[in-house]
This record gives sequence, structure tokens and C-alpha cells, in this order.
Amino acid sequence: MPVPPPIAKETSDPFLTSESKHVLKIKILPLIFMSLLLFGYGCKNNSSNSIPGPQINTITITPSTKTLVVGGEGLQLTATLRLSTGEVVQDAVFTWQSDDSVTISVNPNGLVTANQVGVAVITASSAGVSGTAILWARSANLGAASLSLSGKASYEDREFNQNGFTGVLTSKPIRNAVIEVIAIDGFVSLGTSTTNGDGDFSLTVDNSQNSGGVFLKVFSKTDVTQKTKIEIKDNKTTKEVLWFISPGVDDSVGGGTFSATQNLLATAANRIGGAFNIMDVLMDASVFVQAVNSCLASPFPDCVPPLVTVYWEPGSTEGTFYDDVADAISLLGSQSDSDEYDDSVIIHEYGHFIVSKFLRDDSPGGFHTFTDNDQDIRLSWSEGWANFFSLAMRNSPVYLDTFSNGALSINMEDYTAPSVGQLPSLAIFTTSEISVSGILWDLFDGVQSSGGENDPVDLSFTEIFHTFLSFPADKPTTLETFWTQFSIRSETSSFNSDFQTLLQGREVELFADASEAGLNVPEATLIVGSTQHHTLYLNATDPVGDIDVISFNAASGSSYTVNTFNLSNGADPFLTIKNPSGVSISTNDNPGNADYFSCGVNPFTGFSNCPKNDKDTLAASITFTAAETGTFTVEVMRSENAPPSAGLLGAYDIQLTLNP
Amino acid sequence: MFKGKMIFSLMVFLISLLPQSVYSAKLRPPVQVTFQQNNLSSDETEITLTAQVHVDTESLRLFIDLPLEIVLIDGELEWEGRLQAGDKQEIKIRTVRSSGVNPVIGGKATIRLKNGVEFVQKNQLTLNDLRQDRSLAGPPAHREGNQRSIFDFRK
Repeated sequence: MPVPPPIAKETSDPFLTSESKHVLKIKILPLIFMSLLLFGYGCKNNSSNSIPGPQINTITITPSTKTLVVGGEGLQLTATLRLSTGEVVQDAVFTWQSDDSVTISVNPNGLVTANQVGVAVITASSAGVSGTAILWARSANLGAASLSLSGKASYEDREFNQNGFTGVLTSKPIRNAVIEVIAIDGFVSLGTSTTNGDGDFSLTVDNSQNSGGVFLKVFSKTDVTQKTKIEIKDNKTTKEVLWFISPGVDDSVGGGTFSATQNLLATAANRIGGAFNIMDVLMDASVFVQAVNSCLASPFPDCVPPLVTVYWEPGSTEGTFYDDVADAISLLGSQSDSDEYDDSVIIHEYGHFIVSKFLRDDSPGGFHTFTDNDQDIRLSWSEGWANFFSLAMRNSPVYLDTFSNGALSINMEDYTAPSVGQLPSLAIFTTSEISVSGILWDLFDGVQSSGGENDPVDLSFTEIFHTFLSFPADKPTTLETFWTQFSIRSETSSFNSDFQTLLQGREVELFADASEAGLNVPEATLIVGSTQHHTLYLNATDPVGDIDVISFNAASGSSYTVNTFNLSNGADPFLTIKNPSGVSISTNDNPGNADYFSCGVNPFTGFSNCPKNDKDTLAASITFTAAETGTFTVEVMRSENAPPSAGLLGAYDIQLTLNP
Repeated sequence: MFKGKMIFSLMVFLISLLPQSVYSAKLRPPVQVTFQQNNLSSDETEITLTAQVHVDTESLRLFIDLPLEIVLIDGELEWEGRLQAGDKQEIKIRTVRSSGVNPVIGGKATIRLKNGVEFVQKNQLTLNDLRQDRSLAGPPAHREGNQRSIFDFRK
């Protein structure tokens, strides 16, 4: 049914929805359940005595919608002002206004007259509130038997730089969108088509069975027959595809032939332009993936992404995220932060969508900020990949997210952000999404990049994507796994040395200790008061399973402490002290013997319970008194009870202290 | 009591079986700073600077920097304290404009993260400057021949 909704106006402006705190990963059902558990089904709200008096007024107009005939009789509208109690305010005085008086005019008493074919919104105002009615106008004569409509559909894009929007608007074609011709008389659909790659359209329909007067309706979705499938909807409740319509076209030629040109523009001022920007950006992103040469290892071997659904409308405050269960992207539309023109952000979320469809994502999701470098290693990969996807698709190292009067801007080539001087020193480790995205960007960008690492690698997106597609099912989706697969794939392994340079530039230590002597062979000697740095990395073929064996001399009766610290890159070391005979005398995993193995996601909040990869939470420490004098050993390996937030590898410092 | 615990545990277990969405949210700065302008009269303006932090902080300092042509008549220009992730803090001032066209007011939030890193987020507000908000403004009251969208019909 193509009829635009005949909604009687309420008082509040949906554009002025107050900004609410972002709620991410909050599970609605569990919260409802908890509410019922806490308050009971029959719990009566005791706050009734605090309900304010009848202050909220509404205005309704009768009829709220109607189709008039051009040149016909006028229609008397009636406005009613009500208090919040429902009580009608008698003798209220209304001010009447038409938003298109050329088409439909209204006099001071609410009498409307149709002057030409089209539509107008009539507003009645009183006591600071207003209500609206939507009125249509059709011809008294029959329409054309051969009605040809052609033109170009465009939308207004908002230009931006690193400081935010510049205020410049550019017109861009609405590509491959569904367009429909609708008769005002009965709102009958006369025919549909799609715009082409330049936004041009042409339709010929028969309107001879209806009164003259039609309009064109452009939808923010592609046709189901298109290779690229996108739809932009308002919200998860009404799930209506967004649209805009042309002015009315008067084809009242009584069954003859009529043709007209209608150029359509979805404006930024109306906010509908934003819906078509989302669609346009996603179209490019989809084509970018389609250009990948073969996706045989995925459910979509032809590399054509399936339909993507995006929810966005002005005032939406749910957040900007990809929800894998709802299988949809949500974008903010609030006054303080609205993302419909933030191309980087839109493509970032599409990057998550692509991973969900083609690949695998182990990330628990949740909040993340760009100064974090102790993230869950699965999260840092997931977000780092999505950042990289955004950079690669736009072929720019700058990630930009505008908000009210400003912007978040990060250059992932040289790790500069206008607001953070220390970003280069923070964007380090496998557990930083900025580090991950910067490294992937360096693999992709040209060899002569300015700033950042002077990288000689210039891989195609296809090669990087194929490396991701090659992840074994039993390995977590992390930068560790990416490096391992990269280093063994024949298509990429010739760049291993260059890739290592990039990794080490970000302090990502995915290599064996220089002193690595093999399993169970002492590789170093620790001296009291000294510190050593090691990696838990066995070898390039199979990096997991390293055991660092470090010897030290101890005197009988003396107390010593061996501890790991300065953990990085997702390390979770486990310590074993062995006496000179090789017998284990003490072990330790985490401070306070904490066990994070079963950490997961809180079913009520949806947030991960797993520890961050900071410098000490997963460190190990053993204090013991030597029972004999001789050469002891400490063995350091990845904890078998490491949480899923930790890496399979990692790096650490270790020191030996003689206690007083 | 035991029965109650059993029921609760069972319900928790059942909830854990519900399909759980993974919300891959967009990247956030540690703190976001936004301005609001409320014109009280032709020369008197109420300005609100709001900071929302997305990480636990050791300290947060919020500061409004007024140009010479703007005079503070009420409120504090600065706030300092400690906020937890998700908290919001605002400072609200009333000002009068002595002269000047479209004066620029600066806002700054400086936070010290738990790892000692200091982060600065700046924003600015150009009083009565329509440039930033022009494309977000509502449609004109009178329109002739323009397209209409779903949003017009929902007002």
C-alpha cells in the first residue's frame, strides 16, 4: 500500500528527542525478566500521586487526511485542543497554515481549497502546540493513458574534513533505487522501476482509469533483482523503508498522452538525504567486496554480499552498531551525534556485517575507545578489521566520525589524532584496535606512504581478505591468527619480513625469543635483581605452545620471588618452579589464584566478564624458600586456564628477587 | 529459600540459552564534549557544556573558554572531578554578549586515564552560527514544489 501514512499531528517534535545514554549490549529480555522478578507482575505503581496536573495539550484536526478535487468545493477542517486528561478546551483559538499554499490553501477559519494537484500539510496551532493534517489534491478529469515520467533522482551529500562538516552540500545521484508512480486518486500504484547508475529513471504508465494527478515515490532500497541489495529502514518496530515523494504531476488529459520531466532531490535539510547517503555509501562498499576475486571459502563464493538492512531515522538514539542476531546495522540519528553522513562509520559497521556473513567473528562486542591497548584480543581484531575495511574501501587512512559541532578524527597511517598527542605510543600490541587497523592499512596502502612506518608492502584487498578467509576453524579470530596464516600462505609469505617490520613498529611481538632453545631446554639464566623480556612464541610453523625455560641459582634457606610483569600482546603466563633435580615445587597462574577460564558474557548485561589484557591482571608470581643450593629453573608457558580474552601468544617481563 | 534459589538458578540458566546479540559498536573517544546554546534574550545566552566519558578516569577537568566579547554573568567556567565510564557531567553558564559577530566559545575536557595518559577533547560553539546546523534545520514553513519525505508526514 503506497499511501503515505495519514498521521494526525501530536504535540512533540520527534526531531527533538532528548539524547539518551547509549545502551549497548543490554539485553532487553533479561532486563524485562529481572524487572518482573524484582517487582512482580501485579506490582502497582505507587507513583500515581506524583502525576503532574493536566498540562500537556494536543491538537487534532478532523479530518486528518483527505483528498480534494482541484476547483471543487472547499473542505472545512476542525481543530480540537485537549488537555492531557482528554478534556477539550472550549473556545480555543487556532492559527491555520499550509506548507504549500500554492497547492492547497487554508483560510483563517480552517477552510481549505485545492488549487492544483499535489499535497500539503495543514497546521493548526494554539497555546504553543500544534497539530497537522495531510491533504491531497487530484484533478476532476481522468489521467493520461500513456503517462511518461522521466528525470534524475539525487540526494544532497554533506562534505566534511577532519574538523567536521564544512557546510558544503553536493548533489549526488541516487543509484539503483526503487521508484514508483502512484495515482493520488485512491493511491493506486501505477508502476515501478529503478534508477540507473546516474540516478536517471524513466517510466511509462497508464493512469486513464483514475483522476489526473500522480506523484513519484523514491525508496531507500535497491530492487530485489539487483546484485547489490540494500535497504534503509526507519526502526526495528515499524521497519518501514524510508522514502520521499515528488510534487504532484497533473496528467489530466482525459486518456491521452502526457509526458513530464521530474528531477527529484532528497535534501539534507529534510534529513531524508541522509538515508540515501547511507544507501550510496553501502553500495560502494558492497561493490568493493564484489571485486574480491573468489570467496570460495565463504558461504558466498561469488563474493556478492547478501541484503544488508540498516535502521536509521532522525532522533534514533539506540546507538551505532552491527547486531549479529538481528542481522542489521543501527545508526545514530540523535542531535548530538548523527551518523547518516559519517561514511567512515557506516562502512565500519558494514565491515562487521561482511565478517559476519563471509567469515567469523569471535568478538564479544561492547564499548571500546581508541586509547585502549589492553582490549580483549578478539575485540581488537574485530574492531581493527572493521576500521581497516573502512579505510581500505575509502582508500584513505583517516577515520572520521562527526558529531555535534565537532569530529573524532584518527589518521591510522601516522597514528595522529588531533585530540591525543600520545596516540602513537598508545596504538601498540595485538590488543589495540588502532594498532591492528594501522597494520592492516600498511599492508594495503602504497609503498610510498608518508608518515608512520615506511612500509614496502602493497597488497590488494583481495589478498588481505583471502588471508582472513583462510583462518582455521579452531583458531580464534585475532591478529595472531592473521599473522600465522599470512606467514604460511604462498601468496603472501614472501612479504613476511616486511610484515614483521610493520608488526614490530607497533610493538606486536609475534616472533620467538632470540635465545629460544627449544622445549624444555634452558634458554636463559636469570640473576637476582635482573629482568628479562620474553615472548611466548615457539616457531613460525606452529607458534603456540612455547615453554620458556629459565635457570637461576638459589641458596638453601633463602627466600626468592619470581614474577612476571609488563604483560603485553595478550599474554597470560603460567609459572612452574623446579628444583635442581627437575621436580616441580611450586606453580602459579594469576594473582590471588584467580581463575578467569570460564569468564564469558554476563547474560543480564551482555558485557564480557573477561579481564582486559593489561600489564598485570594475568601475571604470575611465586615466592618460595629454597630447600637446597643449586640451579633451579622457572618454566613459563601460556596458562591452560587463560581466558578467551587473552591471546594464544604474548610477551612478558620476568624478574628474580631475593627476599630479605 | 532453597527452592527459590533453585528457581532463580534455573531462570538464569534459561536466560543464558537465549540467543545473545553481539553488538559491534562504533569507536568512541574516551570522552565526548558537546555544547548547547539557549538564547534567553537578544544578547543573553545560556551555554551548557556536557562531557560524557566512556572510560573510567582518574580525573576530568571541564573548561569553557570565553572570548573577550562574551561576559559571564552566572555559573562556573570550570569543573574538576572523577567520573566512571558512562557518567555525564555538565557545566552551565549564563552570558551576555557585549559586542562582536558570531563569537566562538571554546570547550575542553581533559581526562587522565588510569594508565596515566592524558586525553584532551575540544569542541567549540559559534554563537548564532547557522553554518554548522544549516543542513539539520527543519523544513521551511512555506514550501512550494518541493519534495516531501516520510519525515514530513510523521511530524
